[in-house]
Amino acid sequence: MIVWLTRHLQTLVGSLGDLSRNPFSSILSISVIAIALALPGGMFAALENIHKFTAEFEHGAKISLFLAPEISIKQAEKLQQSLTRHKDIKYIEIITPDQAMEEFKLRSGLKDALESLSDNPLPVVLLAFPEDNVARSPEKLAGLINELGKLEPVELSQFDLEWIKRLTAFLELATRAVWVIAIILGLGVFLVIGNTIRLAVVNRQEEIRIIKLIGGTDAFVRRSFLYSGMLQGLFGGMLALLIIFLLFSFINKPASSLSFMYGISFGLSPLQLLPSLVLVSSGALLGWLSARVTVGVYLRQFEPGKGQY
Amino acid sequence: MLIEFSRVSKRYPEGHEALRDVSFVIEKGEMVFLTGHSGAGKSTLLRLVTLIEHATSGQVIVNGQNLGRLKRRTIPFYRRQIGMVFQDHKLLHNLSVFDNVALPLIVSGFHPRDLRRRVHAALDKVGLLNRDRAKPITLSGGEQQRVGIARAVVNRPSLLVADEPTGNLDAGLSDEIFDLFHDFNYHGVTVLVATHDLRHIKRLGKRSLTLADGRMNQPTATT
Repeated sequence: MIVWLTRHLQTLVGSLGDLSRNPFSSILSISVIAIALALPGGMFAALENIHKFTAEFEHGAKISLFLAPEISIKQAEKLQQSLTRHKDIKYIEIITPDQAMEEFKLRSGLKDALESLSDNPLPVVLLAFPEDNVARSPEKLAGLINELGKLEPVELSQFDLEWIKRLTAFLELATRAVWVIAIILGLGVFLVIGNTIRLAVVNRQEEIRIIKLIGGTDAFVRRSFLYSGMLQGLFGGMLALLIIFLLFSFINKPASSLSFMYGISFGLSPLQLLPSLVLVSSGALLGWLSARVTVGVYLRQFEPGKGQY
Repeated sequence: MLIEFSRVSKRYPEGHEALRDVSFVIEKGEMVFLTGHSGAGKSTLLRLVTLIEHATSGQVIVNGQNLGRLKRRTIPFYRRQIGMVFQDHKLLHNLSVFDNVALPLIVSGFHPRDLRRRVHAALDKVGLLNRDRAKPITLSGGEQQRVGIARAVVNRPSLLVADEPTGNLDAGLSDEIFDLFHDFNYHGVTVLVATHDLRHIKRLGKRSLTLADGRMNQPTATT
């Protein structure tokens, strides 16, 4: 066991040494691997964030009832009371024109322009929060929207979640697309590592033949290449993670101010711990697999009997 | 006996027939020279013993193992019983002398604790203990060949095989090398050396096998 462990540690350190001995080509191939892994990794992180963003909306599903301009706040409160008894409605919030104006000023960035208005053109708005069972069923929700829209003082009944439904459908499509991209780029990583390993095998064919002559098994010869493939994938994965984090911190600020305009506080989060681990370890796994296949193909060509020996 | 060839022929894929119907026996503990002009088949014979090549027909038995029946994956374990010395040394130039000699032990999973002692013993034997940290390229040809010999014996093989080990060395240095082989043989190692330098055969008084155009003449005993 100790012998086995020391041998593996020696090989690991040896492979690290090999990587550091050719810093330029190592950095080059690790960077290529990192970019190929960062692209789908970043896309998955982005999708994850959009999902979270839309979930924030669905949580507060509400129907906005824009009342006719001549309706006073008092009349609106009466309507609020009668609608609160509706079986499909959880509760009703009232937004007065003044409140709406304040909020509008805050969020639209048109503060100066709005302050120059002499009177407030905004109508009274009722926010109807449907019961959960209604919110979850598109038909019931549509029925409720329709019903509320027909009420006398209501000029416009609008449900804000229509676009979210479309977005969710689109996200499903996007997720599939990202999977396809991930698979293609994963194959790319496989080939990149395979190529660097192939070069290493060809460069060391003399060494491989000698090791076989003095009784080295295929497994022994293979081991250092497996480690070097795995390390390349591992470092590539770690660099990919770094790229994703940098990218997200770069767009975090505009993203959070955009979400603020939609009335939800929302900060971008890059990959969580688990997906990060998955990204890095899939890099390492790809490297290992690629080295395994490549070395397997070339090892038999460097038998001592073939070539000049 | 340690090595037995019976009616062995070797034809290379290009059609060249390197060995024709060769039969001989080498007993355990013997030291035997293999002579003949270049191209007579000496190297091919050694390549059959070390399983770099397989015989086209006939039987090669080494240490009781029929080489024709060995499975590919058992070949490394077979080779660990044999120390090989090459004319061009075949050292790894990116490793130190110590690491080169340690390689057969590392390859066979030798316990790291005893490794240093074994390597130093082998280097001491060939008189290069003080050069263990040098790179092979900084050594002279004779010294490099002695590193190659230390690597061949560090595993304490029962058979030592050498192909023209002094081909590139002057007379004084080749005497040293052959004296080393003689010494290993004295300690019980079976030695098979291919050489065209007949001087050593006379000097050491050992049996020799002679190949000519792929055929083996009647084994000759020398004084």
